[in-house]
Amino acid sequence: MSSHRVVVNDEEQYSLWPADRAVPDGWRPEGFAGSREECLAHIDEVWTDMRPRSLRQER
Amino acid sequence: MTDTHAEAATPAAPHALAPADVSGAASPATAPGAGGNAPGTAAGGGAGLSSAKQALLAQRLRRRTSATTIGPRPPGTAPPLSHAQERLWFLEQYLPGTAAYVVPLSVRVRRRLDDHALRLALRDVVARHESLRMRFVTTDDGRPEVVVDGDPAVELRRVAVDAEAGAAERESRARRAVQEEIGRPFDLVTGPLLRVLAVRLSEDDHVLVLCAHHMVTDGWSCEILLREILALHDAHLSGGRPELPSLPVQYGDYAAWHRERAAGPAHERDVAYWRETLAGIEPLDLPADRPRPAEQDFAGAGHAFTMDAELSATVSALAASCDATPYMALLAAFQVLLARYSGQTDFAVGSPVSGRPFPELENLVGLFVNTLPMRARMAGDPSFTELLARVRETALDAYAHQELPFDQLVNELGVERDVSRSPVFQVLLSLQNYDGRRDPAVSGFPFETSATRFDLALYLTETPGGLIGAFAYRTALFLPATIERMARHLEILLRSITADPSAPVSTLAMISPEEERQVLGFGTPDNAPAPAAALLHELPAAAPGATAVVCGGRSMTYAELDRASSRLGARLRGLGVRPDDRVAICLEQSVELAQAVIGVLRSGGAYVPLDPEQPEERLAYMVADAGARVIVTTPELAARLPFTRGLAVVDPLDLEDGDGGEDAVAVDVRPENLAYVVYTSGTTGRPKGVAVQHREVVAYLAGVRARFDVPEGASFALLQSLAFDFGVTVFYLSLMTGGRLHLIPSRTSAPDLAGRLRDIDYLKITPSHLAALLAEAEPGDLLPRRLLLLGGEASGWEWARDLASAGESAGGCAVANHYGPTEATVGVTTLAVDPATGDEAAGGATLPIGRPLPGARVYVLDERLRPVPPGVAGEIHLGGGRLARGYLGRPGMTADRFLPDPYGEPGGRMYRTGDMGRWLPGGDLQFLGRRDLQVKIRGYRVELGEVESVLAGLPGVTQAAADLRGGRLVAYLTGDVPPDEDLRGGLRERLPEYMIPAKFVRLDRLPLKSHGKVDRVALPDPGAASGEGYVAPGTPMETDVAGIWAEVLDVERVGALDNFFDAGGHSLLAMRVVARLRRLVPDRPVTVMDLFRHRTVRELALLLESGAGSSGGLLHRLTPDRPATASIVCAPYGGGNALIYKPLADALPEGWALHSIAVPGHELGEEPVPLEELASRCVQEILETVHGPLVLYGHCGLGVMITVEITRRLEAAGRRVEAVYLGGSFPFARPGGGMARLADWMDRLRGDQAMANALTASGMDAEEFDPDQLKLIIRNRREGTKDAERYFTRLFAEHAASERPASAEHAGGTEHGDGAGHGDGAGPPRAPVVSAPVISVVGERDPATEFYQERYREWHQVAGVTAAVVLDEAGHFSMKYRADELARIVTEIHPAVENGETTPYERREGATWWLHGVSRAAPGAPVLTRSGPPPSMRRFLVVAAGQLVSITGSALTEFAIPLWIYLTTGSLVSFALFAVLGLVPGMLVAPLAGAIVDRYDRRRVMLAGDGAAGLTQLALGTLLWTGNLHIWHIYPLLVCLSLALTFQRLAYGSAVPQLVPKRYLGHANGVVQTAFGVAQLVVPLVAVGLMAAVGLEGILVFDVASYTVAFLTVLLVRFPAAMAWRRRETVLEEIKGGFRLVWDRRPFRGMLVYFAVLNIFLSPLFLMLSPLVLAQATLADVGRVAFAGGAGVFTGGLLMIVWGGPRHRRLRGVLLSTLVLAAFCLLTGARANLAVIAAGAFGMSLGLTLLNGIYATIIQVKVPQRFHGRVIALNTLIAWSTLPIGFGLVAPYGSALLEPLLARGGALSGTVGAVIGAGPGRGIGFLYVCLAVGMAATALAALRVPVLARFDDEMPDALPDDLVGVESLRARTPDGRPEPTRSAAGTNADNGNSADNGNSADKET
Repeated sequence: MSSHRVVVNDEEQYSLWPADRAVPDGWRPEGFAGSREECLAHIDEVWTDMRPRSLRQER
Repeated sequence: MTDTHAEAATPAAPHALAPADVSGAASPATAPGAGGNAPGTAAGGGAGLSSAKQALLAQRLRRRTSATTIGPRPPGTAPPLSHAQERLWFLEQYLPGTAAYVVPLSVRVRRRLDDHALRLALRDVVARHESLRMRFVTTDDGRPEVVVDGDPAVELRRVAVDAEAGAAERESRARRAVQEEIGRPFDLVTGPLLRVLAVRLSEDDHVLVLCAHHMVTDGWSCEILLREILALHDAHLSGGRPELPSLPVQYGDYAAWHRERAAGPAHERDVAYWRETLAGIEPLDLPADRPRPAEQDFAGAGHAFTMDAELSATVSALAASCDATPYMALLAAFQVLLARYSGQTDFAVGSPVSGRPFPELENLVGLFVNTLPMRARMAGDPSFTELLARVRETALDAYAHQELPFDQLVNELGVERDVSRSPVFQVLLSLQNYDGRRDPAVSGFPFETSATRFDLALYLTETPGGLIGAFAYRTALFLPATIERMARHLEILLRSITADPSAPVSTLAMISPEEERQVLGFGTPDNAPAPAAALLHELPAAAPGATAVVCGGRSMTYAELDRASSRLGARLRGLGVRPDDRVAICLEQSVELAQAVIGVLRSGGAYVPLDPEQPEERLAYMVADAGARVIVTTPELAARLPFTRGLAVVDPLDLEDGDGGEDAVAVDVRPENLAYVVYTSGTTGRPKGVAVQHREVVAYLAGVRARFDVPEGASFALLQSLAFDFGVTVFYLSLMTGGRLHLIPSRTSAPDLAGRLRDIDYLKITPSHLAALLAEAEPGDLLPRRLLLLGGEASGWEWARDLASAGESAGGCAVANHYGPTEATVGVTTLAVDPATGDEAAGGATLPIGRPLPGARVYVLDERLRPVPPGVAGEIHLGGGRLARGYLGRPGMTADRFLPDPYGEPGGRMYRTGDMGRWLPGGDLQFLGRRDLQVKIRGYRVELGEVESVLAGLPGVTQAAADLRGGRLVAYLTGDVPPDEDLRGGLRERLPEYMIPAKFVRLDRLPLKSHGKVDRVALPDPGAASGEGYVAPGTPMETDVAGIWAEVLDVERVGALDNFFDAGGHSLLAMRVVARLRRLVPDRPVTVMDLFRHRTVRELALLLESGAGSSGGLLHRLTPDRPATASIVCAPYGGGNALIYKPLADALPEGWALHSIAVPGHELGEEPVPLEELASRCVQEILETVHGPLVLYGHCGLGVMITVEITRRLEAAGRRVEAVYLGGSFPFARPGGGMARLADWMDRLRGDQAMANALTASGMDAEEFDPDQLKLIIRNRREGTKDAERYFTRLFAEHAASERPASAEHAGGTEHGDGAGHGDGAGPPRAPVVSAPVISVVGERDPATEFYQERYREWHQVAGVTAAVVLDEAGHFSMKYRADELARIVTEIHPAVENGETTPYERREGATWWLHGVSRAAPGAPVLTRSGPPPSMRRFLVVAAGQLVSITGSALTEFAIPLWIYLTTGSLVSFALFAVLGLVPGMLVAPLAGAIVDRYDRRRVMLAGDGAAGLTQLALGTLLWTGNLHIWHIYPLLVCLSLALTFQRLAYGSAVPQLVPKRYLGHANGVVQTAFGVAQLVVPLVAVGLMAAVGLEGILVFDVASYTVAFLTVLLVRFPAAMAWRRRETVLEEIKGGFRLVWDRRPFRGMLVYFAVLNIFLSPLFLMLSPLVLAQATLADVGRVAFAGGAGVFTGGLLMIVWGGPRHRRLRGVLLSTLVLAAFCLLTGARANLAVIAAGAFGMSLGLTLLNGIYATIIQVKVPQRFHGRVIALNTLIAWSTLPIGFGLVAPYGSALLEPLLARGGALSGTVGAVIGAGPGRGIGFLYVCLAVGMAATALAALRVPVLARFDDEMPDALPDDLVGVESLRARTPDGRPEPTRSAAGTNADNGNSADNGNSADKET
C-alpha cells in the first residue's frame, strides 16, 4: 500500500504527501511511493545534502 | 435568548423544556414500544442484524405485546420511590430550592379557555394520576418516603393581560409571566408538584403553562397532561364525558414492580451489558469558550435553527436505505460533528427513551424517561454508511437493555464522579416527530432556556416543513456565536453526507468557504519589514563606546565586542571553520558568551550552544552529533568535560591580537547558511539538532522588533542559558539595536534580581520561572520598564492579566505572550496582554498566544490538513519564511515534520508542530497542549519518550512510563526497581536536571489500552505530595522552608503538608536542606533528625518558630511511637548519620524501640564533641528516657567505640545492659614507636581524592556532594577511625596493666595511651570489663572482620562473655542491606547466649546467618585458648627483620646473576634467558605453593624455603668461589632459587596475621609493604654497587649469611597458634573466577586485551636498561640509572597517594600514563647519554607506577570488593604470560637484530643513526624507540576504541559489596531469601561515608 509519495520542491527539499491527494503547488513527485516509513527511509537515503539548492549552487 | 421557531405553528417543542434532558423522553421515534416509529419496528426488518440479536429483539417484542406484566400493588400499601425518583430526591437535597428540575410545558391555546372548567379538569387529572398527588417527605432516619394525598390539590394561577394596549405588549407580559412561572421551585415536602399558569391574552388566545417537578413527570407525561387537561376542560364545558384511556396500574405500581425487577437476573444482565459497553469511556471534551468551572452549574441558553424539508427528507431516505431510523442517521452525523470539534473518536452521546416498555404505562403521567449512552465508534475513518450501520447496531443493543435506569447505571458502573460535568455523557441528542394527535389550535409558546444539565443538548423535531433544531448549552462553557456556528456546521455536514454517503467521514466538508478564507486570513499577517541586516552578526556601528554586554560586574563595549569577536572569528577561521561548519560553545553566563556567539558567526560557522550544567554524556553526544570539531570554552570547563579532548579547544580569553581584526570576518557567509544548531529533546532517547539559518533568524528579529517597537539603545536582560533558543530574542534584539544586554545567571534569587531589573527595559522569561520569583518578590520589583515577554510555556490568563495590571500601574510595562517552536525560529506569534480584557474574550484558562509575526504563517489544520473553523481545535502548522532548515543530519525526520504547504507560496514548506490550538473568534491563536507525548517542564521541551527510554535502560527496570502530573514529572516503573536515589543517580548521568522525574511510582504492571499502548489516564496519581493535596505555605517560615525544599528537591513548589521523604527527599538532600536552614535560622541549628521527625513543611516550620532547642538530644527514636518493652540504642559508623539505622528500626518486631545516636559534627556547621562528652550525654539520655531491657549496637570503629564507652558508663551508673552488639569491627590499635608516626605522616599526605575513590568504590557518587560536604565526610572518616584507634589502644594498655590483678573491679591504674579526655579524675570510674556479653556481628565477606573465628574473643578485653554471629555473604553494611536478619540477631541472640540455648542458632544448611561461637572467660583471661605463645609485635618484628634481610639478599642475587652473565658472555640472549629463569619458575609454582602454605604449618614452609634458598646460594657460591662455576650450572640453581623464594614469600605473607596481635594487623601489613618497597628501591643500587665493589662472589657471601640469619630467626621464634591468612579460593580458581567476571563485561574485556598487548612492549623495558647503559658506561652507572628508576617508582607512588588518581575517565588516565611511559621510553632510546637514559628510566618507572596506580583505582571503583582478588590474579596472569615473549624474544632478538643495523656503518646508521647515534648499544636504543612507538600506538589505538574510550561511562560503578552478597545468597537459596532491606532514608552515601572505615583496620598504614 502506497499511502504516501515522496515530493520535492525547487530548493530540492524533500517531504512526503498523501498519495491520494494532489501535490501542492511548487512541489513535484520525486518518483518514490510507499508507506510513510518507507518514504522517510527513502528520503534518508537520497537527501544527502540538506542545504537548499540555491546555497549549494553558489559554491 | 429566545426561540423563534415556535411561531411556525409547530407542536410544543421539547426544546422549550428545562431542564433539557428530561424532555427528550417524548420522542416516539426513539422509544421502543411507543408507537409506529418504534425501533422495534425498524429492527423487525433488520437486515444485517446478527441472528442472535434478531432473536433477542423478537423475544423482547413478544414480551411487550403479551398481557400486562405489571400488576397493582397490594391495596393500602404506600408506593416506594422509583430509582429515578430516589436519585432526583438526593439531587434536590444536595441543591434544594432550584428550578433545575422544573419540567415546564408552555403552549399557546388559540381558543376559549374557561377558568372553572379548567380548574375542574385539573382536579380530575390530578385525581386520575397517582403521581400528581405525590409528595416526598423525609423520615427520621433521613430517607425519602412517598406520601400520596387523597384529595387532589391543584395550584392554578390565572393572569389576565387582555387589558393591555397592543398585541406586542400583551405578548411580552405573557412571556414575563411564563418566565417567572417556570423559574419557581417546588417544595417536595408540602406539594403539590403540579401547577398551572393560564395567561389570558384575549378571549380566544391563552398561554397555558404546565409546570411539574421532574419527580412526578417527564416530557412524554407533559403531552399526556396537556391532552387530558384540554379534553377534560372541553368535557366540563360541554357537560359531556371525555374519552380517556383507562389506567389499569398507577405510577406507584410501576415503581414497586421496577424495584422488584432490580433484584432479578434481567437487571444483572443489563448491568453486565452496560458495564462492558461503556468500559473505559472518556468524557467528551468539546472546545469550550470559557474555562470549565470546577463545579457543574445548570445555567443554560438555547439556540434554534431550521433545516429545509428537502434535506430532512434526504436524511430520512438515507436512513431508510440503510435500514436505520432517521434518529440513527442524525445521531451518526452529530457524532461526526462532535468528533471534528473535539478531536475525539470514542465518546458517548445521551439518547433519551420513553422508558415505558409496556402498553399499560403509555398513558400514565410520571417519571419514566430514561437516557441511554450511545457510544460513538468512529475508529478507522469509516464511511458515513458504515458509521450509520455501527450506530444502528449500537442503538439496537442499547434499546434491548434500556430498562436499567441511567442513574442506577452510573452507580453500578462505579463511574468516577467528576463534579465539573455530567457522568458518562456530556452531550445529548433527542429527536421528536410531529405529534399529529395534538389540537390544531395549540402551538408552542417559546420561553428562554435557562437551565441544562448537559454541556450541550440538541433537540430536533421532525415537522412537515423540515427539521427544527434547538441547541441547549451551558452558558458557563459556550458563547452564543460558537453554538450558532456549530448549527451551521451541522447543516454543511449533513449536506456533505447526503451528497456522498460512501466517502470516509474524515473527508466530509464542515466548513464554509468564507470561514476557510477567514481562518487562513487569521494566520497570514502582513509581509515582514525589511531586516536591518542580512546576517545575524552584523553589529550596529553607531555607538562603538556604548556598553554592549554586562555580566557579573564585567562589561564590553560594542567596539570591544566587535574586536573580541572578530579575533575569535579569525582564530576559528584559522582552525578551518567554514560556512555551515558547527562550532560548539560551552560557557557560563559571561561577556565571553556574547563574544563567542558573534565570533563563531563571524568565522562563518554555526554555533552549537551547550549548557555546561547538562550531563557530560549528553553534551558529548550533541557535539558528536553536530559534528563539531572546535569548541569555544574555558580551560576550567574543558578540564571538566573530557570529550573536549578530542576537539580543538578555543578559550575566548586566550586570544592574541595577532589573531586578526575586522578583516577576518568571513565574506563567504550567505543568509542561507546556518547560524546555529539548537538541540531539543527527542523521542528516540536522544536529543536532535534543529539547524537554523541566518535569514530566518534575521527575519524573526525584524518582525519582533517591529511588533514591539523596540527603540535603539534600550537595555535587555537574559536569565536563561543560550543553549535553548529562548534567549535568541533578547540576545540579538539587544545587539542589533545597540542595546545593553545584561546576562544574569538563571539561579539568581528574586531579591537579587529585583535590584538589577530596575534598569532593564526588556525581559523575556518563562511563566514558571517568573512565578517562582514572584513567590519572593512583588511584581513591581520584577517587571522591567518597557516589556515583559512571556514564553516557553503556557501561562494562565488571570495571572498574566494581573501582571499586566501591575505593569500598567508600575509605569507602563507591557506584558506580551510569545509562542513558537525552535523549528520555526524562536517565535511565531505574540499577544499583547490587555489588563482590561474581560472573561468573555479570554477564551479559556490559558493565555492565548496571539497573532503571527510578520512573515510567518500559521495554520490550524485537521488531520487531513484542512483548516478548522474558529473555536475548533486542530494542529498548529507554521509556514512562511521562518522555518529552520531542518534537523541536522536527519533528512527523514525533517521530511516528516516539514511538509509541503498547500496554502502558502508555491514550493513552500510548513512545520507540523504537534501543538494543538484553535482560533479564537477575534483571530487570536490559542494553544491547547501537545498532541503527542511532548510536555513542557519549567519551560523546557521534554519528550516523555526520551525520558521513558532512558528510564527503561536503567538496571532492574523492565518497563517505564513517564507522565506529567501536577506540573511534575512522574515515572512509573515495573521490574526489580532500584531505590529512588539509585534511579536518580542513574538518570543524572544521562538527562538534564529538568528531565529527571520528581517522583517514582512502582507498579506490578503498566495499565495498557486495548491496542497495547500505555494507558496514561489509568496511571495512578503519585500521591499527596503532588498537585491535588497542595496546601500553600501560610506563614513566612513555612514559605521559607517550602522554598528551600523546593530548591533542594528541584520541584516547582512544595506544599505546607508535603512530606519531605515522600517528595523524593533522602538523607543526602536532607543534609543540604539542613545546611540551608542553618543559614536561615542560625540561632536554632537544625539537624537531619529534626527533619526526619518533622517531615512536613508545617511541622518543621513550627519547630523552627517555637525556637525549642532541638530536643538537644543525641538519641533519636526511629521506631514509631508505640509501646516498647525493650530498646536498642545504636551508634553509627564514622561519617554516618543517625538515619542509617532506619532499615533496622523498620525491621524490628513490635515491642522494640530503636534509638539512634546522632554524632555531633556529622552535619555541616556542627561542632564535633569529644568522646567523653558524647558518651556522657548519651548515658544521661538513656538513663532518663530509655526504660526496660536495653541492648546496644555499634558499627565499625566509631560506633563500636561509642558503644563500648557508653556501656562502661551505663554499668558504672548501675544501669543493666542486656547485651552489646558490635558490628563490622574488632578492636584495632596502634603500636607505639616510629612506625606509627610514619603512618600518621602518610595518612596526612593522603589526598582527598583517594578517599573519594574509596567512597565511590562503596557505591557513592562523590559528585553529588558539594566540596564542603565531601570534606566533612572525609574528615569524619579520618577522625572516626583515628579516635577509635586511640581509644582501643588505651583500652588495651589499661587492660594489660590490669592483667596482673585480673579483676573486673579494676578501678585505679595509671593513665595510659594518649588519654583522649580522661583526666582530673572527672571521668567515670574506669571499669575495663563490662558485664554485658559482647556479641560480634560479622559480615562473612567484610575485610574488616576477617579472622573473626578467633578475633571475637578479643572482646574479652572488655567482656566476660563474647560471641560471634556471622551473616553469610555479607559485607560491611549489614545494617542497611541485611536489616531483617540483623533485627532477629539483636533481639534473639543475647537471650539465647544467656540461657545457653544456642543450638537453634548454629550453622545449618541453607541458613543465611548463624551463631559462630560463644566464648566465656574469666574477666581478663588470656585471649587465646589454644596452646602456643601469644602473638606479639616483638615476635613479628624479629621474623620480619630476618625475612626482609634474606629477601633483599636473594633479590640481589637475582639481579646480579644475569648481569654477571652478560658481563661474562656479552650475550644478550643469555642475559634475558637468565632473567626469565629467575622469575618464571616461581610464577608457575605459585598456585601449588599457595595451596601448600594454606595446608601446612607456615613456619615449616618458611624454614624449608629459607633453607633451600640459602643452600642454593651456598652451592652457587661454592662453585663460584672455587672457580668451578659454569654457565650451565646456573640454570638449575637459578630455578631452585626462584622456587624456594616463592614458597618463602607466600608462607611469610600468610604468617604475618599469625605472628602479630591482630589489633595491630593493619599496621603490621603496612610495615611489611613499606619494607618491601624500600627493598625494591635500594636493591638495584646496592646490587650494582656490590657488583662493582665485591663482585658476585661477595654478593653470594652476603646472601648466604642473610639466609642463615633468616633461617635462624624462624627456627628460634615459636609461632603463636593464632589464625594465619588463608586464601578463600585457590589461585587457579581465582584466575578462573576473574576471567568469568571480566569476560562478561565488554569494557573489561577490552581492557584486558589492552594490557596483554601492552605487556609485550613493557616487559623488555626494564630488563634492557643495564645492557643499554653498559654499552657505553660502567657498572656503577648501571646502578645510578637503576636508582633513577627506583626514584621514579617512589615518586609515582607518592604522587598517587597525594593525588589519588583522576576523578573521571580513569581508563583514559591509564592510557595517558601509557603515553607518558612511551614518551620516556623514547627519551631513553634517543641519546647515548647517561643523563638522558637516567631521566628516561626515571620517567618510565614513574609512568608505569602511575599506570598501575590508576588501574588499581579502576578495580577499586568498578569491581565489588570481594572480587578484587580475582581480577588482580587474572591481571597478574596476563602480565606474566606475555613476559616470556618480552623477555625471551623481543628483548634479546630485537636487540640482536637492531644492533648490527645501527653499528657504525650499519644499514640504518645513516638514517636512524643520524638521529639517535650509531655505535654499540644504539641498536638497543633503537629498540627502545621501537617499543615506545609500539606502546604509543597501542595507547592511541585504544583511545579510539569506543569501548575503551568510554570505559568509565559504560562500566557502571561496582555494586555495593553487600548487594552482591545478597544477590549471591538469593542465587543460592531457591526461596529467594533474604531480601535486601531498602531504606527510604538511608542512602549510598551513608555507607559510603565510612567505607574506608570498615577497611581501615587493615589498611591503615
